[in-house]
Amino acid sequence: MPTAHSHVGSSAIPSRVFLRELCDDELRNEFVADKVRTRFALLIRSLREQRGWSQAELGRRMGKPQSVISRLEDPDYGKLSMQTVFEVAAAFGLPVYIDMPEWEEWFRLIDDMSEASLKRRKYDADRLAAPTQETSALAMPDTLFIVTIPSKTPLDNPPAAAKAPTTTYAGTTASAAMSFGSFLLETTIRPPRGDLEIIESREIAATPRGKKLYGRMMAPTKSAMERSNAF
Amino acid sequence: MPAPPPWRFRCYVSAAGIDQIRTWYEAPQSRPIRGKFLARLDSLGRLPFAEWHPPLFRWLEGGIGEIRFKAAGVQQRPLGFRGLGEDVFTIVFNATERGGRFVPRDAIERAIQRKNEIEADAYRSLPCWLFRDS
Repeated sequence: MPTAHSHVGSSAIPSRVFLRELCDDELRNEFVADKVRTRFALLIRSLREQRGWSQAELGRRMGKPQSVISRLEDPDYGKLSMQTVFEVAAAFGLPVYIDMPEWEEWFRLIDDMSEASLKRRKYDADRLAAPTQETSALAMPDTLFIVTIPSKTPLDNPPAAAKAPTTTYAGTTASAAMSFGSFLLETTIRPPRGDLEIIESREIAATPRGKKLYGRMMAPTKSAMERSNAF
Repeated sequence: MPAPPPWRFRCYVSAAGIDQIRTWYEAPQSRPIRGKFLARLDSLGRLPFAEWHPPLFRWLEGGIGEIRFKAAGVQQRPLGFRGLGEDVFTIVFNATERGGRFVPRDAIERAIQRKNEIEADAYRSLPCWLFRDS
């Protein structure tokens, strides 16, 4: 439950006081820039460490000196060019995606900077070309998964709030969410003590009642698990 | 039900009952400093404690740690400690750093003093106003 001194509203949207501070254009622009730079700096370091590379090794792969990599991993470095972004991504064998989303989406995307959320797999044609039948039918990325966890909760009366888009929803099993199967849900799951539990779900598309539940797999990060422990 | 982030922030309150961190923030700080302060609190507040490390954060001495960021050409160093309470970080002093030295020079000592005051009297800290919902 949110407390007087917690973020409130959803797991990603800050408090009203915090949001009111961001009404100032210049302050908000600095906030956004710093959040993006911080995430990118942490991402580069995380990806480099996942691969066991030193800063010098990443620099060698990019044709840059180690000092450049050190700057890229500094959230206060403010002169990152689009070309450098492409070069870093290429060194890791990863794609780039740049957008200016709605604020709600931005807060959600920028929310989790934990190391667990910054893991990435390099390009693999075989993996990409071999989606499951379900993911192929939905023409969705291969990060989709099917929730097949046995229920330990009655399926007939899911909380009404769980049907609303972008509602955070906790304390039941993934298959319980299937009972309101007219919704296609994006879910975050965690293994608490045996079963998997949904800790967050949101509607991403409508699907005929009775079909299986599909969702975009979001790794149950340590921070998400810690947050879910508050329920 | 909304999930609160893993961390909550509190702020040092003077003997006169004044939130010193809020006073610092609402003093004529530049907008870039305020924006970065908000961003770093928000980022750290969403990271597991095991991932509080440089470049965002660094432990110093006497249980004091520094939030690290550069804004308006100045290295900002809000100092604080872990506690009181589970998953709480209390900010006690807003220092800066110049040439590898704190400004003021006795920033760590003052931070430790304030930490001691809070540990002796929990009412010498308040939940960070930025994360309240009103």
